[in-house]
Amino acid sequence: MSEIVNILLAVLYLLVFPGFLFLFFYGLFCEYFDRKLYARMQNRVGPPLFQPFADFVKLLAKEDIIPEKADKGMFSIVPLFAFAGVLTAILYIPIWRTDAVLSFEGDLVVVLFLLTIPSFALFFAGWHSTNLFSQIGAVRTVTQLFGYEIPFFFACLAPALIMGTWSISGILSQTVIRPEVLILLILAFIIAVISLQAKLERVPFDAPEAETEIAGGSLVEYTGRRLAIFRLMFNIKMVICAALITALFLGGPVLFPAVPGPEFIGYLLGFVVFLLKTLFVVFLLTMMRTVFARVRIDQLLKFCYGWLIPLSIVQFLLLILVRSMGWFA
Amino acid sequence: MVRTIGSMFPEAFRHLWKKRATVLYPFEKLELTYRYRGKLEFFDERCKGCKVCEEDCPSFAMEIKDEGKEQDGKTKFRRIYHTDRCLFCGQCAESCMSESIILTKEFELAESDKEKFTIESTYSTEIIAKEREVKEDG
Amino acid sequence: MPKVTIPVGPQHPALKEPINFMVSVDGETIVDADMNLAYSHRGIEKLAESKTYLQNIYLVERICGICSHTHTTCFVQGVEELMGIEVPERGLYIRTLVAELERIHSHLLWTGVAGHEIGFDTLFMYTWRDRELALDLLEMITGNRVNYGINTIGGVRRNIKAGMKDQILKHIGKLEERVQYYTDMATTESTVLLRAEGVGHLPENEARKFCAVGPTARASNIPTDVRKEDPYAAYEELDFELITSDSCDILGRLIVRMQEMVESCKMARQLIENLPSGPIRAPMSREVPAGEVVSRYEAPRGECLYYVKSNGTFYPERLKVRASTYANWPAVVYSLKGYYIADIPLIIAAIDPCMSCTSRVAILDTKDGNERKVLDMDYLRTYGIKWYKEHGRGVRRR
Ligand code: SF4
Ligand code: SF4
Repeated sequence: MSEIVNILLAVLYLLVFPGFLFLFFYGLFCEYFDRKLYARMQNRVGPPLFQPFADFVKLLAKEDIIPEKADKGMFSIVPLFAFAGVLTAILYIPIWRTDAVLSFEGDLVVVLFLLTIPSFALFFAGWHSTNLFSQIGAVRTVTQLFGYEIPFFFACLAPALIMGTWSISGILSQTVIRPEVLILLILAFIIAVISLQAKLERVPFDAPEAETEIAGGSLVEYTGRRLAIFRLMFNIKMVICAALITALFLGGPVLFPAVPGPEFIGYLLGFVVFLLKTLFVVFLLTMMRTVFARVRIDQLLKFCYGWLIPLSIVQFLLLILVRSMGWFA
Repeated sequence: MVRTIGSMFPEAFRHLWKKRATVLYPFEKLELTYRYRGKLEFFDERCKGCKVCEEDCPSFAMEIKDEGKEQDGKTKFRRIYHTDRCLFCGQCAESCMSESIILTKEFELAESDKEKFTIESTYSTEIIAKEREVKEDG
Repeated sequence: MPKVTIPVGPQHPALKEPINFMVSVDGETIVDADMNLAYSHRGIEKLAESKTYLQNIYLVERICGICSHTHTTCFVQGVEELMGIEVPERGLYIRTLVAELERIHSHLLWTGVAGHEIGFDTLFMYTWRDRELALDLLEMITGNRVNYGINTIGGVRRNIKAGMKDQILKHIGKLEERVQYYTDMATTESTVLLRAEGVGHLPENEARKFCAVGPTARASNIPTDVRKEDPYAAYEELDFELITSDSCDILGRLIVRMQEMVESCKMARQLIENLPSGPIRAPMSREVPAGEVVSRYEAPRGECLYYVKSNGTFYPERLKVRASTYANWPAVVYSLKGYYIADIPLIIAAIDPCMSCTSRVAILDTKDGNERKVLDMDYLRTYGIKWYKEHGRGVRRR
């Protein structure tokens, strides 16, 4: 009996909450939120609430074209592959309380790994489209990956270092015990948000898909439902990355100070706090997109190696110093 | 050289609480100036049949056809005006000495039926010799 | 990646106009570039020969939507010279005012497009919003936002009424403020500087060699401006500076355009304040005495040149248009080399290209042995029907 319940629960987690269904709607909402803010900051109207959903449905109905010279298998499987990758990651991220659905020592690394899958998927998608622009985009995707991934890893591992655990849920429970440590992580938070922008390939780091340069990069040949899946994947990736950053640097669904009361109210409150915090991260990302111009791919690499990586090393040294001196313990 | 980063931030942030600049066109409309050159309106009773408007029209949008004499000695004219060809330059209104062409503010002229682009009218008037004058818009 | 040739245009999101660049790249670096023009030959020069001078004003006005006043002024100036008409002072002042407002709106438009090319859409939205200020003024003065239709042979068609002056001065004040803001913002913002500084370098001697015109030349430190060299309309009485920059790159072109807008605002103020009274147009006849004339005009993009030949009838015998963008293309091809793929849109956009400025001829090479024929509309229609009968309606699926 309890086994069946467990299985049902797992299916529920994966497909409904916090899995596919929740991410689907929240991802679309985040796209709306991003676009609306972007528009408002540009003194425009912006899309109505259901625009992203309408776009998604419209794309599903569109004709599906595979280029004659493309590798058909790769071309069709890659979007699903990327999609599955990001979906899995949510299970390890705490959403309504301090522990996630699944967790084990080292799940932080798994999540970071799962979040790189979309970039590789983009590379394969672009490369196997055999279009010149998409191939240039694919090469840029990978080039960019080497730029942002190192500072992003460093920044995300910083909380693990100071909290002494490699599990996201563990980090979060430690945060509840000693929230003052988060002050030490401000630098890591900034680095994480900046490299996240590069990871999500948004202005100013959108060279791999730069519309005015290479006509959309890797996805230039994608149409119809495959493009819809890719776009949904990007939205969900944004949500998950924002959730990860929330969990690592902003205390996830925890509200300081904790409110006494029955458990489920705590969960509900935690969920609302989680939503607000992720929206705050999305707001930061939108802000960056609004006020900057696109940098070239070489400038991005220079920026990553010249600024972000040294800064994240500085952050690491600081944390090691703090730990060895036993402060904030 | 001075370098700043994100210098557009204050401006962009400020506009989060400002009214949009966009005009939601079919629901809101901007006010046009009185000098706007839109669809033409004709006062055929003033026309003298000099055909200058036809002659000066750069896009063959105006046709004045001579339809022969009437009993009372006046000449019958048919005016054919093609809104689809007209480029709303207003040269005809300017050249017309009898002020029988007026520019209105009407600009929503899309139609799905091609016939509707042709506006015809017939009238009779006394022909007088061509003469021109220079007008100024006041 | 090996050396490849990528096509930029005639359908490319960066250049929404019919032009094609074949750019050979080695990795991300451009090693060679070639250009194909004349995708849209509109036959305007030939058409002009079958229209009267008065009708031609409206024809040349439609050569370009952004600098429509450029083309009409350049044309009527030539015709007025042929006819020996003295245009009244007030007419010249109004003409100049419209020209300067047009320059402001064109440069603001360019700033937005350049911002869009480097992914800075916020700049794009804001400049285009503020460009409305200039367009509102143009609408108030002339009646329309784009094809003003204000010029006529012998003067201008619409007068400036006393009540308009305050409105114009108010808008000019706002424009000055906004232009100043964009200048400060765009020339200090690091991400813009990263993309603009040192990119698309066009040294002075090369710019001279390629006969670059307008802001492109002025940004390469060549002090050329028809308004100064050969003053037309009311420019002789105006006090303004010729802006140049010695940085020879895209940043220089940005700065030159920005400061030119400031100068234009200044000029517009002077024009309004010293507007002479009197008639706005001189009487004219429709017949133009035989002769030929070359008329020059400083368009927002550079020098515009008209050649009009009259044979003493109502119709011109020949009308030749050399619009400004055409003169700047060779400079673009030169300045592309050695930069990155990412710089292509910006370098091309930096001359403020206008494809309708370029295509005046279509050359058919009949010597290569291939047969050529003209396909008329009826032929194309029957061909289309036949094709769809054979191939079916839908796009081929696989
Ligand atoms: S407005 Fe211009 S185009 Fe239209 S009918 Fe009159 S002259 Fe012809
Ligand atoms: S120019 Fe005026 S008077 Fe002459 S035909 Fe036309 S409408 Fe009639």
